[in-house]
Amino acid sequence: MSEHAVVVENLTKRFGDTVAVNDVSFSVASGELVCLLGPSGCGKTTLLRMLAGLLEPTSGEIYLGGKCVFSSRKGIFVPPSKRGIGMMFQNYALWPHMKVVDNITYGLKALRLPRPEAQRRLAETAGMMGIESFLERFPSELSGGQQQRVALARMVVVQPEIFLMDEPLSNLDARLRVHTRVELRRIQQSFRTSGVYVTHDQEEALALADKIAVMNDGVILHLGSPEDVYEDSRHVFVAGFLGSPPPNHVPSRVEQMDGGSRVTLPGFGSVQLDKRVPAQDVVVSLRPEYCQLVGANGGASGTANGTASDGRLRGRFRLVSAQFMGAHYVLLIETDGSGPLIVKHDKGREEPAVGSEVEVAVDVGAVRFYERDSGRLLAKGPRVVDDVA
Amino acid sequence: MRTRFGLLKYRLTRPHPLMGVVLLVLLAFLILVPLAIIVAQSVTVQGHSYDIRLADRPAGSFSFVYWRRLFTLPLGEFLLYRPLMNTLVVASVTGVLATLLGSFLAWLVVRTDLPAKGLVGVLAIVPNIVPSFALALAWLLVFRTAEYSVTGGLLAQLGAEAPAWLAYGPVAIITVLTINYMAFSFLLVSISLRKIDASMEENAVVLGASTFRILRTVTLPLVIPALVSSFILSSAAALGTFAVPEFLGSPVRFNLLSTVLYQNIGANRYGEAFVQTILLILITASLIWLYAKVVLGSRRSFVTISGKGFATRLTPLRSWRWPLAIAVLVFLFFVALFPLLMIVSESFLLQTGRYSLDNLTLHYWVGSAQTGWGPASLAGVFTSPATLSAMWNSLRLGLVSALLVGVASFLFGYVIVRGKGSRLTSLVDQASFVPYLIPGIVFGAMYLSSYAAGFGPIPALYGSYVLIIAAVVTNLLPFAARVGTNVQTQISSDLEDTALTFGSWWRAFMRVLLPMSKDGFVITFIIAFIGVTKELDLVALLVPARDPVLTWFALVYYGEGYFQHWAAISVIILTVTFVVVVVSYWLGFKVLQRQGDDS
Repeated sequence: MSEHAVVVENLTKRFGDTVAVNDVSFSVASGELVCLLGPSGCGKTTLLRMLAGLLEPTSGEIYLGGKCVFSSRKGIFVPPSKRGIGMMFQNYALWPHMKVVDNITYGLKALRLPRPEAQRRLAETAGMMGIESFLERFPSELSGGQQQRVALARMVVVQPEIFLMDEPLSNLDARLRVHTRVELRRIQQSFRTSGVYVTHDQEEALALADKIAVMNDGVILHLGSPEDVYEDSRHVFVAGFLGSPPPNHVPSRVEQMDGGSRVTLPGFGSVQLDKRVPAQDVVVSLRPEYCQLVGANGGASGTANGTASDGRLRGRFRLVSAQFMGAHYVLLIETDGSGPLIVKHDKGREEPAVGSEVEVAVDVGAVRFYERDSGRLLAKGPRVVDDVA
Repeated sequence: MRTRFGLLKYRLTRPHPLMGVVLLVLLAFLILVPLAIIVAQSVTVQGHSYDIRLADRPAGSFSFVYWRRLFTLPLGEFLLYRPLMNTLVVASVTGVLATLLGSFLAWLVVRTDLPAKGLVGVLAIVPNIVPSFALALAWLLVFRTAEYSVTGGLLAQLGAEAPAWLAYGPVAIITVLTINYMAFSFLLVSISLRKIDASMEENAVVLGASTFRILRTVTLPLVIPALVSSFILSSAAALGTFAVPEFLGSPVRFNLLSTVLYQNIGANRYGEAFVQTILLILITASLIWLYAKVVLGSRRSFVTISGKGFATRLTPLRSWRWPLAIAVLVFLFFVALFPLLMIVSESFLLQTGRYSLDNLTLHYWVGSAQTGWGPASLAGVFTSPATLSAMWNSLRLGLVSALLVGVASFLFGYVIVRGKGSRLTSLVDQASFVPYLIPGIVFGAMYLSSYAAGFGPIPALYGSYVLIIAAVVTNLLPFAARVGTNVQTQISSDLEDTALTFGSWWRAFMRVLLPMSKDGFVITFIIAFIGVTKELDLVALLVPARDPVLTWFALVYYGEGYFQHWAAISVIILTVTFVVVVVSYWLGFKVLQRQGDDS
């Protein structure tokens, strides 16, 4: 168990009738940073606060650094200060009536270190964070970015075994956020400290985490590497939550055919799934970046509808609008019956004309199929591309 | 296996649930038990020979005799119906007038280009700081008539003696109470007016509405909740007020429920007094219930308030500017400063009410007792051991109660904010408001009936300062809880949680929570100290006559007609109040505005 910094088993938290965290189990390997990602109210902050010991779980067990810190069964509860954690909040939670130096040394005093050692740690941490010059100031006299560094210094100076962070970057402006993200990752890796990081910002999670746990309704729907969670989302909610713009979710139905099962993509044609599954309603997930415009303005490339030999499925539609996003265009394309389709279109290629008819090609290998009722991943992109039109 | 008990230990030492339980038990003893006892006492034959004769049963037996007496004619007319009608009339008229005056002043100061606004704003608050018994004294000094008093008042001296219906009775009581409560309404409506988004009025200007039309169609509807609050809260205060009706009503036998209940207790007719107490609680409680229902319940439909601190648009008064300013200042001079002048000068007059240089004396301040009759036979307030020890008592009572109110404020705030969402917390929150329903004089009657003779493990506390402190602190609990909640709301729980990850709760409390709650504590302390020092209604029935507080002497001096002594103690209390207020402003604590904010 020692290779795991955090082990959570069957953790549940109820507030009256509502279940905030529902029978969650997961683990964080030593030195690993796991992001808890999800919309507000999904239970991610509740989960983090239970790890910190700021909230008493209703049931379950928590092990930190191999030691049991909470067990409803055994009646164990280790107070926050004895869990070897460092915590950082969204609003930094700097004590406004204490100078920066007093904020940072608050935790050191509880450790009862010898004075020179405490001084050395303070100087070292302040140096690393670049905050030596304002140790004597009060938090209200610092900018947002400076406050953030002080909060970080206060967390790392006690050298905790685990960092617990609750949206620590969301109060910073966009530019500073990207910069601090890199900084935070560097510090976490240089200390080889494990971390649990709560955020609702997918970009942050994708950039920072070794692993992402996507949560909704008190449950972890998918825990995996950023690539895994993004490309092979195990749940339709996870697929829909990740990606900007979000994937197109088109309702359809699995039908049986000779040698397997097939699904019709409205406007495009049918594809054969990579395995045989029972007939049922499904949600087809098409990420915008896997939909491409071919021969815009009615160019004569490819066939009218259906598949071509290059592993793509094509259809002809009318372009409704084009938003310029700086690095690319986001196009809205009118399909018949199943709602508009969002397509990401790279810059520098032919400029799309609104109102014209365009041809869209879908990279069928990247299409995912989810069970409509449970939301679970049913099948990946079709192995065989079959022209049935 | 230390950790095996970790969970149990954690639950026991988690502070707010435990604190919440402690506070609830405390509130039960401070409010619930006295309420229950007074109800029980009202149907129990009291121990006086009069009672036993009346009920024709031994003392302590069950009887509805007091209730019957109050609700049957002909006695009921004097014990209940007339005082009740008087109370309702005085309370509702006072509520309307105080609200009209206060909100008009608030509108002038906040939303118009009236000159000398700062002065108007300060003067408008002054009558609220002046204790009500001192305002009543000032009224008497101006309006009293030779028929009912030792001599005529200032008007009589000037050759225009006021008619008795003006000097005493409902008109006098309503006027003095209106002046006293006007400031409350002024603060409440000012806050509401300040929060109105100027763009709402600006829209109306753009659409071509006149000043009056904007006032009627935009501004007024937006402050209606504040107006209703002001009306209900000042009416509720007037319902239970005691000092002013006692001093201005009793000469012409104009009684309110509060004064008849006081007189009944003075005449050892406890049974009747307890029934009157219960009725007074019921009336006040139903009014406050109405308030909670109408104002607090509908607050959501008035979420038009914008938090932006932009300069609000000022309504131009044009040619009315100066005439209005002068009229307002003259009015405020007569309600705020003139009473003070009357009181101060009276304390230096050898013969009451004779304004002449040869009548000036320091006797009532530092003179020693003279032989003979009249006020001069009594030593000055700084010479008489009785008043000196009363000053000391007042000071101690003020300091100890204010300290306790400050602590209570922190505890209630902490439990209510940190435990938000739990049933225990909402119970504590609601229970802390109950003392609002209980007028000061009623607290006296309640505590007299329950704790004077001892109850359960609590020894007999009659005439004990423990009882007085309990009454005074309980009376201020709604205020304390509100300030404490505001203070704790501003302290993010993350600050405490972060400290918890580094060390014990005790250390987090000492190093983070306590220092951050300091300002709130100081404000509560100051306001409570001022309130307790000038309190008469609450202590009237509870202080021991052999060892009273200073305000209690107002009742004695009124009874004896010793106006100069009465004036002298009023000046002392006023001076202490003003010094405390000025010093706290100088230290940066806006205690007066704060009263409005937290109401």
